[in-house]
Amino acid sequence: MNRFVKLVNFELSRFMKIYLVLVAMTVVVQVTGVIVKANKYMSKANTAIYEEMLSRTEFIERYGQMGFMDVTRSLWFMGPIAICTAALIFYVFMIWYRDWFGKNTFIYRLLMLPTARLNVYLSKLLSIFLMVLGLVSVQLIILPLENSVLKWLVPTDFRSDMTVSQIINGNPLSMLVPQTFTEFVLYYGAGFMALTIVFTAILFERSFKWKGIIAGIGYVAISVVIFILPVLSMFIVGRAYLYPLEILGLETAMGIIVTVMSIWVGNYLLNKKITV
Amino acid sequence: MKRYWKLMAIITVVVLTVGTFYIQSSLSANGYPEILFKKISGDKNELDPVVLDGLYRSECGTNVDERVKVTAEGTTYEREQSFLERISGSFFGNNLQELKEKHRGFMRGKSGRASSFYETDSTLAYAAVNNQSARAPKSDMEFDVAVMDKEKDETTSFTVPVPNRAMYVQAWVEDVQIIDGELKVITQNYLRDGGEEKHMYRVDISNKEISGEETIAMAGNQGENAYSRVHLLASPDRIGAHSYVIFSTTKEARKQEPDNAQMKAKKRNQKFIVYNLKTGEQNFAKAPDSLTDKDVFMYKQTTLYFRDNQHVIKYNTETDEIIDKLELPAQDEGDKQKDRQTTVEIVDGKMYMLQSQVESSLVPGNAPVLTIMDADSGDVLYKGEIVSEKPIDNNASLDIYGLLIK
Repeated sequence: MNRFVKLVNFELSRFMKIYLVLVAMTVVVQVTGVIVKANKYMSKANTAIYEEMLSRTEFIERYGQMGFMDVTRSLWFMGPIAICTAALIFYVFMIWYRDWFGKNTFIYRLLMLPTARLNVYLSKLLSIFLMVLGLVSVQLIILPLENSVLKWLVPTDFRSDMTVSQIINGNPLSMLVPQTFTEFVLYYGAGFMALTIVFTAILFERSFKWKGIIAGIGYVAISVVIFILPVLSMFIVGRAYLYPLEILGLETAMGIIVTVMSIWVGNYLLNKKITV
Repeated sequence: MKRYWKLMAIITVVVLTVGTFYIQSSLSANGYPEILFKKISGDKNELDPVVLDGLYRSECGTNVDERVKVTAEGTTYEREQSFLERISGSFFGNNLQELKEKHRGFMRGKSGRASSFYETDSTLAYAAVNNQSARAPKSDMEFDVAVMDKEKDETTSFTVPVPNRAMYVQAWVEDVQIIDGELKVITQNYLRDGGEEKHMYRVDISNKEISGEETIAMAGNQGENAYSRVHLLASPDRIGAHSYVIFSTTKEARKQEPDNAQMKAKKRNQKFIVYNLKTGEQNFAKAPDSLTDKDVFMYKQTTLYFRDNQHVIKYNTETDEIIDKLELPAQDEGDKQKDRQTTVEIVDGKMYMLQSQVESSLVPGNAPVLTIMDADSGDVLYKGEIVSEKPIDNNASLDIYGLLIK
């Protein structure tokens, strides 16, 4: 256990610099976005009121109030999220390949550690997963701050206030932070499963090289088919024999099966087939 | 521990933030306005079967519409449901939801239209048309039939091809009844040549075959300049046993007339087909001229119910007589009358009526009014306003428009 915790901490440390840069970038760009959007709106209001001689109410009628939605719809807000997502997806692969392609094949040392090789797999898995959740948390922490920045820059008459939940619900953000905790667990559970599938596919490639690429793709395909089997069966039969809750139950079971299978296959490959 | 601070930090941040967020959002979900029945007169126990259906629209940038369900017990907003409640789709617990809970096995894989079901104390039956595809050149339409004997807990189910299915593009089941051991299915059939038919199929349950069929009415183009329509009138006991179905038929000119004139002409030409499911007899009825400016909103046995903003009138198609006239309570005097919207439902001898102004708000004095009356005597059993406990946000609106009686 102790060695596993050490390994996770080690994996986190290796990416920590880039990770903190991602966090800082998100905060800076998003807050800048709020300021830019708010200023743009206010300067439009000033021009309209002082040059075109519109009254406040006329201006609001014509252009609407400023809401946080104007910020979230812009590239200022979604851009950093997209960059972070891309960076983490990239690192899902790099977390393995850097050990082979870095100087003096680090994987050799990792695999020689006096601990089960499964721990290497699980520690990489957990650190990616934690980093994803960490970025989501950062977004949840800075949202109320950004909301206050907006309130601070735009006078009450000109803005329509929203709570953090409202901001999230009417937005692609609701994919990252779904409405209920049950959904949160299900979404991230599915994400965790996807991670294990990809990790195992990578290990197929690392074990059998070129043939392994095909094996890896095949493994992903099989996992996906197993996972969507309950839904697939309804399309084949053409009728909804199962009630929605039964589908959910079956999907959860399938998800657990696929996750366990992936970790087990990954463990087998690491122990028996991996080549350095 | 100090050595693992990175791991500890990230776990702490995640747990605290995500935890706080979901706890907070579950607490703040109670920020919705609670809607109350404010009694003016009568007995509030009459409210038990009443479910009001509304729409909450919050214009916080996103214009999210949410449905709202109001009962005497409380107000439920769509977003207040848990995830499991949401996916099981039980928000608007209608008759089918109840059937699904009571007869889980029987209801499995059955399509969701109430008109496909028939239920009495001893029997539950279902009929629907499968394999409908308007595009396929060949038709594979078949009846999917299931009958359950509730006492023995036995289910007979089978499929049988729709007779002459090559003629039809689609067929929809509008009513299912069992009369003298025989399943009768009323359908709306769409013909390949563009016409429409009201059809009755007799299904022999023990031999699992179609034992007869009959065209009740046809509609569609009537020459170049006119077309006709036929539709089944609403009935409060579609699922229960009944021995009559009543259709309305209208002929319309294919002319560019102002809407108003067209509506009037349409109503003048409206005829009713009273079909006796037991004997297969058809009677044509035409409402007296005094009723042509009123809407038919339901029927029960052979009685049609007409209404306008002031009255509900019962008209017996067998004797051609107006048998009863009920005056609706006036809500407000003056010119506001015109803008009133009234929803009326009659269930089990009681009339439920929801009246609201077009610009109504949920503030006492200008709020929608719910009245429950005895459908025969016209006695008011309950009258009350529908008000919001706290004022609704400037950026939001809440409309109560529907009335559902359990």
